[in-house]
Amino acid sequence: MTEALTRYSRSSSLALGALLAGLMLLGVGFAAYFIVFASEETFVEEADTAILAEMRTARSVAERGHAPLQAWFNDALTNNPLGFLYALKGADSLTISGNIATWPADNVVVVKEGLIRFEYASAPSHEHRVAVARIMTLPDGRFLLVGRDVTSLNTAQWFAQTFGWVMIALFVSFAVACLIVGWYVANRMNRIADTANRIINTGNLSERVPVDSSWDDLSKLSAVLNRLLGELETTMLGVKSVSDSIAHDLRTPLTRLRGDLDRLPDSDARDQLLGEVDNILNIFTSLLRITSIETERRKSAFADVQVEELLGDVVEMYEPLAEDKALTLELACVPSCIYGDRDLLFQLFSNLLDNAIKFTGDGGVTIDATVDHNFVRVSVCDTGQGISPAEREKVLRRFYRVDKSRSQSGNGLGLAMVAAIVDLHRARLELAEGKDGSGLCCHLTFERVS
Amino acid sequence: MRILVIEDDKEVVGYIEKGLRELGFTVDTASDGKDGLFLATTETYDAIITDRMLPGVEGLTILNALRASDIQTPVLVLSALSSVEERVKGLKAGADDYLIKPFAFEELVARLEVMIARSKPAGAEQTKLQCFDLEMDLLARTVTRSGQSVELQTREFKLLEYLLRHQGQVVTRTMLLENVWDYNFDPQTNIIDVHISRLRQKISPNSDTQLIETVRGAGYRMQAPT
Repeated sequence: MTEALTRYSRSSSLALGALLAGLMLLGVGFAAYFIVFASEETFVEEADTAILAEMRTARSVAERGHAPLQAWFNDALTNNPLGFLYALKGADSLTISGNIATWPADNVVVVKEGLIRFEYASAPSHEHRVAVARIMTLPDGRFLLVGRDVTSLNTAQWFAQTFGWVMIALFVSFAVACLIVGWYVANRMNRIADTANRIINTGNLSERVPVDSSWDDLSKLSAVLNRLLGELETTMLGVKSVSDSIAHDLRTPLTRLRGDLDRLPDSDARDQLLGEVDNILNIFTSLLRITSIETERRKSAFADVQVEELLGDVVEMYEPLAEDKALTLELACVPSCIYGDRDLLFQLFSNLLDNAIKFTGDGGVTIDATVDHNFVRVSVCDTGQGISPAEREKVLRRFYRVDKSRSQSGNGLGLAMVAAIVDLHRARLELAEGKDGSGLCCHLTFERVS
Repeated sequence: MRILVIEDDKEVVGYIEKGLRELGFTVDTASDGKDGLFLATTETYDAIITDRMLPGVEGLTILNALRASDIQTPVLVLSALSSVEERVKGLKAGADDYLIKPFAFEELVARLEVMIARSKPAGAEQTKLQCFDLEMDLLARTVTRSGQSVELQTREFKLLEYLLRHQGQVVTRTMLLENVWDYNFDPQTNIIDVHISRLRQKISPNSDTQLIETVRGAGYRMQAPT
């Protein structure tokens, strides 16, 4: 799960998508602020302040008597540049004068303490309008209403809010679109990378990157990769068929030769010749095996291998050989698991152990397996003659033998096979001298499976 | 015992045919896939040996055709295609054994005999194996020689069990590696011989009567002394 997340979080297209989405969300915040700012209260507050100021004037005029108030009222009605609403209502609540047709009665909403909002019909044109107002009782018992028309403010506010919401909707959908595009591109990239990775890991060159459309650059990239894989496959098949025919064409006559020799009457010469033929065949088998490990890079037999089990089996197999030479054979192993081909790994350790026993006169061979974080380190150390630093690289080559006199048996392919198997497992092999400066230590480092 | 050999290389055919006749087998041969398939489906054999790369019909196609028509004759595939992959392909197609060219004739015979013995209906599952005065109790996992208990390690027990189960038959070193050690690999030394000689010492400490005999150029055979 976390791995899958990392794969996406490390994608540049998805990161760009997320960045854009983030910017869009900032836009959403801005629009939301705009909506809040454009809320009714702000506009109403302004209207209320104006109304309160006008009321203070009216109150001070009213204190001077009926006539000055009437004069002020008439003056305010005729000379009204700011569009205030005025109305006077008698205590009997029946007569009304001013620039609104009716006294607010129904559909009155209290906006806040003393401030009401109501719908009214404007005096000359009778159109529906909305206003806020305050009402005060005059000293003579009449009611004075001072208000302001907020119809246009309401409309502006409505526009502002709608605009804000539209912006939010747009920003959110852009953000979602950015994330989808980013995810889509990252997903396709990951699929291409996965396929390529699988091909490298399994060596299965017949696999192809899936191409589901043909219009975009990624599909083109997939198609190019597939053509490249096709070319590689053809080349590899060529190599494979050549080695297969060598195997067939050279080994068959050798079979016959061996058969003919086998039918000869018993003699030492016959046995010697049979041994020679078997030796040639063994070299041949080893050589073909190394080539196939190196070129085919087959990983179909790969599975989790328990190191302690495998090493236990190898040691058990070679114990009698060591005992015959009076050598000690010690295994110290921490339980651990690596991913590999158990047959090839067995071959690897058996070759190393075989060499160690072969080139050690007295003393012993130790095998150590330790776990170091994500790695498993296996060391095969002997107390034999060792290999000089200058020759350590060379011994991994085919047919190279330290023992120039070739007095020891062997075909010089053992370590070459070890190197090929190590390479297939993406492990590391290091040849060094033993702890006390003598002998040979082969340190192998594998990736650990936890 | 009647054996069918399908192989296009005349020398190999001659070599197998002559060898098997000397051992008392009746041998029919076919030099291409078409004849081979015809003989295999119309006649009855105890075992069939077939090459893979054949003119006409390919070896594995013959095998598939046989198994499809429910003919369960044991088949040994003989091929120069030596990779594990090819081997698995052969065994999956229904082959009972897969032998890689070049092969020693003794290896072929050993495998053939084990294969034929296996194809015969077996009796009840044995719990005791015996050879001369050597007895193995598979349930108690004990071994006695002339009544004397013999201490064996797990692998030695398995090795002895395999030899006892194939008494009188030659078992080759490769067969032992495949069946007792269960690892497919090429030993650089004659490591199997070392294990056999150790086992010999354990089951006949006084080396009076040897039960495991070395068959030169082939392998080993467990047999009661005559």
